[in-house]
Parts: sequence; C-alpha cells; structure tokens
Amino acid sequence: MKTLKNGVGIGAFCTSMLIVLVLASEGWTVPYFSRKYRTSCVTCHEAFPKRNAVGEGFRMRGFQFVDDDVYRKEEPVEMGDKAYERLWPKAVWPSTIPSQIPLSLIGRFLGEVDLDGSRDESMMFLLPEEIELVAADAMGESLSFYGDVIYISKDFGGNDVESWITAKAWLQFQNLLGPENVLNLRVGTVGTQGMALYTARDANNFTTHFYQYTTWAMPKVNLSQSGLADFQGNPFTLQPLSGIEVNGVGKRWMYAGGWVSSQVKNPVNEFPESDFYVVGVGEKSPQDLFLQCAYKIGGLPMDGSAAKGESPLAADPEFWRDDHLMLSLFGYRGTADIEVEDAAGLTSTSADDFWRLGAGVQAKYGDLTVGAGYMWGRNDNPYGVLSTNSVDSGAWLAEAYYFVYPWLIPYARYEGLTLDLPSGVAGLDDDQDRARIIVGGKAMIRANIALNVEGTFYTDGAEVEEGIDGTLFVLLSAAF
Amino acid sequence: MRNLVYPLVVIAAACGLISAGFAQAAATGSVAGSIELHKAKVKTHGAKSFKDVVVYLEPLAPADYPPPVEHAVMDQRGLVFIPHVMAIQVGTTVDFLNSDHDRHNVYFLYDKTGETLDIGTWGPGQAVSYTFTETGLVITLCQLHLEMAAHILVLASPFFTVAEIEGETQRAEYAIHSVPAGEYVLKAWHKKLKMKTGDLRTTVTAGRTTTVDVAITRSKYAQQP
Ligand SMILES: [Cu+2]
Repeated sequence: MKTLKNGVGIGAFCTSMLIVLVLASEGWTVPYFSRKYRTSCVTCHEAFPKRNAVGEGFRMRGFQFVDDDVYRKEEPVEMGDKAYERLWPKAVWPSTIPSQIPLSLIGRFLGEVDLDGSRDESMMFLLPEEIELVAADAMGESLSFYGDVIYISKDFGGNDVESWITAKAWLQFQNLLGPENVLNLRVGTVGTQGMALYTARDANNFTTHFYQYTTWAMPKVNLSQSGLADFQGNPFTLQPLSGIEVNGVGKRWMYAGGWVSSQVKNPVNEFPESDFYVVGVGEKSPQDLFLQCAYKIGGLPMDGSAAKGESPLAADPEFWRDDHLMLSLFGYRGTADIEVEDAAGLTSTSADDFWRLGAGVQAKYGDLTVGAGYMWGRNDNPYGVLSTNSVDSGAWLAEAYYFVYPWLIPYARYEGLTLDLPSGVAGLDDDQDRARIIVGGKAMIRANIALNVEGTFYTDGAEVEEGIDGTLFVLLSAAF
Repeated sequence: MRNLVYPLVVIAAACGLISAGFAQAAATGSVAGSIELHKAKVKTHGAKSFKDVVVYLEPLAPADYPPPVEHAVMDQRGLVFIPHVMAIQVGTTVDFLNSDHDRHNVYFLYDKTGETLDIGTWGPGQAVSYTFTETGLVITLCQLHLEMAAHILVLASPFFTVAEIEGETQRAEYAIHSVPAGEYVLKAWHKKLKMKTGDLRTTVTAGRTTTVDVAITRSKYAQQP
C-alpha cells in the first residue's frame, strides 16, 4: 500500500467513513457475541474494544456468562451429550460447536497529520491501517477458542508504508481442577489480552497507541556506525507470545502465568521479514516464564458472578461505571541469544538473562478512571561481546480518562522509559531515555464505530521514536 | 322375591364401593408447593432444557408398592428423546418408540454404578420394551446420535410428579396426590441443581394438603445431606 497524497487521501478517508456509517445504520453489522446474545455492545464494553466489568468477566470465564444457556439466543451444535464425559474414552469427548460462524470483522482507518513539520509528508493515510478477522467462542463449558488474522499497514513514524498479515490462535481448556474458573489451561498464542500489567493492557485501552512500557525493546547497535557485519539483539517486548498458560479468576482476583519464548522471529515494533507470520512464534522452544496477577477492591466481581441488574444482559444505563480500586503485578524472566558478527565474519554468541517486574494501580470513580504503573527491568548482558555491562531499565506510566458523555471520552497519558545503556559501544547511543504525552479523545459514533483523535508530544527522546512526536493521529475503527 | 334380590345386591355393592372410596379418601392426603430457584437461572426451552424437576416422596417406614401395569412411553422423534425427563416407579415397563425416519439406538448409563447397557438399535415404527428393576437415575443415550439424551429417574414409590419451571418467572408449582397418611422424606431431582435445604421430612395427613415449598440451587450453595 502506497502513501496517498493529501487531496486524494482526504477524499478517500471521507468516503470510507461514509461507507462505514451507512453500513452500520443498516443494522446488520454487529460483532458475533452481540449477535449470539442479541445484546448491545455496551453490555460488555465501555467503548469497544475496551471492556467493562461484565465483558472482562465474560472473557475470563472462556466467553461465557454465568448461566450462559439462559442468555444465548442461538443454540450451539452439540457434538455429544455431557453424559459421554463419563463414558470416555469409549465415546467422543463431548463439546459443542457454534451454530453460527463465530466471526467478527474489525476495520481501522488511520490518518496522520504532522503538526511540527518534522516529517517529509504533512499527511499520511493508512486506509485501512488494519483489517481484523476474529473468531472466538466457547465450545461447551469446558473449551473455548480464539483466533485472528490481521492485515496490517504501518509506517512506523512516517516511513514508507508496508503491509503484512499476522495470525494468532489459542485453545483453552476450562475448569481443569477445583472450583469453577480457578484453573484453565491455554495453549497457543498466550498473553493476547495483555502480557503486561493487568491494569494497563494494550488490548483494553482507549488510545490508538500501545503503551510504551509494553512495546520498547532493547536498542539495537547501528551496523554501519559500529562496523559490525551483523547484530542480533534481545527482541523481547511485552507482547503476545506462543506458549502454554494457566490462568484463573475469582471474585476479587485473577492470575495468568505461563511458559513462553520471547526470542521471536518478528518483533512487534519492526517491519517483519515475511509478509505473513504467526505472532510470538519463537526461534527457540519456550524457556521464559511470566506471571500476572491482579486484585480488585470494590466494584463488580472479576469473574462475572454478579451483575448490577437482574442479569449481565440487563440494560445498564451506566455501563461504564464500576467504582473500584485495582492492584496488579507482573513478572517476567527470560533468556535471549545475542549474536555479534564482526567485519571479519567471526560470530560470537552469548546469552542475555533478563527479568521485568512491574506494579500497577487503577482507580475508577464515577466517570473518572486513573491509573499508574512502573516496571523495573534488568538485562544481564544484552550486548554480548560488545559490552560486559548489564542494563537496568525503568518504564512508567500515568493515565486518566473521563466519560463526559457515554460516547465521548477524553484521555491523557504520560509515560516514559529510562535505560542505563553502556557508553563506549560503537553504534549505540547511550542516552535513549524517552518520555511522551498522549492527549486525545474517543467518540463513539455508533456503539460499534469509534473515532479517535490523538496527539503525541515528546518531552524527551523525540528522536529515538522518530516521526511520532508532534503528530496528530485520527483513527476510525469499526467492528461488525 | 327374585326380582327384589337384584336391586338389593346392586345397592349393597354400591354402598360397599362408596364406603371403600371414603376410606381411601380418608386415609390419603396431598403434598403441594412451589419450587423456587436460588442464585440460579435455567433455560426452559429447547429439546434438552432444564425445566423439569422431579419431586418425590420416600416413606420412612419401608413399604412395597405394586408396580403399575400400564407401560410408560419414551419416544424418539426429530432426533430428540421425548420426554427429556421421565420419572417411573421401579418395576415399570417403558416402551421405547421410534417415530423418526432414522434408525435409533437406546443405551443406558446407570448413574449410581456407571454401568452401561445397550438394549438395541431399531428402525422407524418399531419399538422395544424394557422393565426397570433397579432404582436410581438412568441416563438414556442414543449411540447413533451422540447429542441425544434423556433422564429416567426410577423411584421406589409411586408418589412423584414432574414439575416444569416456567421461563419467565423461573419457578414452578407441584402437587402429589393420593399419598397414604404417614411420615415421608420429600426429595427433588433436577439435571443440574440440588435442593438447597437437602431432603425434607414431611408428614402427610389424611384428607389434607401439606404445603412444602422447595428451593433448588447450584451444588455449591446446597446443603449436603
Ligand atoms: Cu438416535
């Protein structure tokens, strides 16, 4: 996809907005779960894709409500009666498959306006920026699945646009042991809903940009400046990874922990090497561990076991409200291979052991939500033979959003990263600290169509994340 | 004289019958009440709904009741067992029909023992009868259509009823009539839910209706017996 020039771009952008609006008002365009339960998006979302307490409970139970069969309007196709569980292995393990194709379509259309003249082009358009095909559902009480295929166009801060396709998928076995929802086993792409602090997750946010603390990677060594033939650094970011996860949820707590590999072929913040890849697939078998947990004080229970009204589907005129305080912790421990190939073609390989430990807090009161988080980190030897130094890191964030109306939500986030990089490594700038302010607003044009207008302004290290400082992002997203 | 004898016999016989009837009525009573759902909701529509609740009485003093002569009927129609929940007295013969265009199988899973019994596979219009000689829950399956299932609750006494939960109100009413006066334990069976209070001691008084309201709930909220 090539960059569109101003006039044509604006025309195309407006046209696509119009098409989307017309389709939505036809009324057939609602995502799969909304169709399955014949319920509004606001049953589960504050402003899609960000879920409210009901939606989080539904998700963490494996896409089921309490007494799910009472609420669903379309019966799944049974593969066998529950009684066959007792006859196993004499018979087919029973489950159900969805009677309707459990697909939803999400489109994101992005316009970028250069506010400070730092880019070559004053406007850029990614139409679409993303097309997501999502399949997710429960298959009986004991199985759930998720899969997505996403067409992505990115420019990473005003560079040439490149497009590729990614895929993610997981299968979850519910309620393996003990009380309901306490032990579930997930295999596939784990951490799809936040390989990070539960209180600050990319998959459950209002902004068009992912958090800095989830996307930063250890800076690479510039090959031409260093005179090296090749440098393979530690590609770790807090993004979905392939592996195995156990998770569970109770009234006031949740946890997820797993065994993954962070040495991915295609890091999330780089143009990928291939046109299609599966997110988080590593070059090595899993050897990293992560653990995420959260505790909620006040508000609706996290496991969806109680609702504000008669049922979780009962219309809630204050669907975005849920006064509470939530605390979260996240820890990660991993190892990455570092490869340095010098000009003579000699390759040195070493290991970089690293860890992250973060704490977060979120408070919601009335129409206001505030949150903050900090993540400490240490990489023992991220530059291999180039430096014996370890690198300590600290990433932080503070954010707030406010429901002026149920459909208009201004937000702000201040976030930053400090890295004590070694000095004297050729091709590595030892000051790559950065901090930025994101200010914007989200307007829900329809329950399933949103418009974000968002500016990003760096207070430090604008040159590190080139092309994003002083840029206005206009994002139209729609889910069908 | 001869023409007088006949009417007299008839009158005497009638008196005997009436007095016997009174005696019967005088010696039995009824148990009735409501069934409420506690912290639960159930689906009440569809082939395998959760609307059925079997309410039954077990006499405290052991007694033998002769099994009914009439057969009960379980049909297979449209790939569905009808009824989905059936209560019978032990010794009852059930005729398993096939009103479909397809072949069906009937396969029992005895809940108590985990034992299974395949009573055969037969075509449209045919029927196979089976007499249940053990009490307990018999999960009835069709091995040709794995999603088909019915529940046959085989009870020791003839004092039972199958009540239906109404979708809108999520409650039901039940009544068991012609129960000999005496001491009983009232029990309720549901596919998923259990009696909140556990079994209830119930006294049946001749000529009266004893009201016993029942609450059923998820296992975790139910008192274990
Ligand atoms: Cu069959």
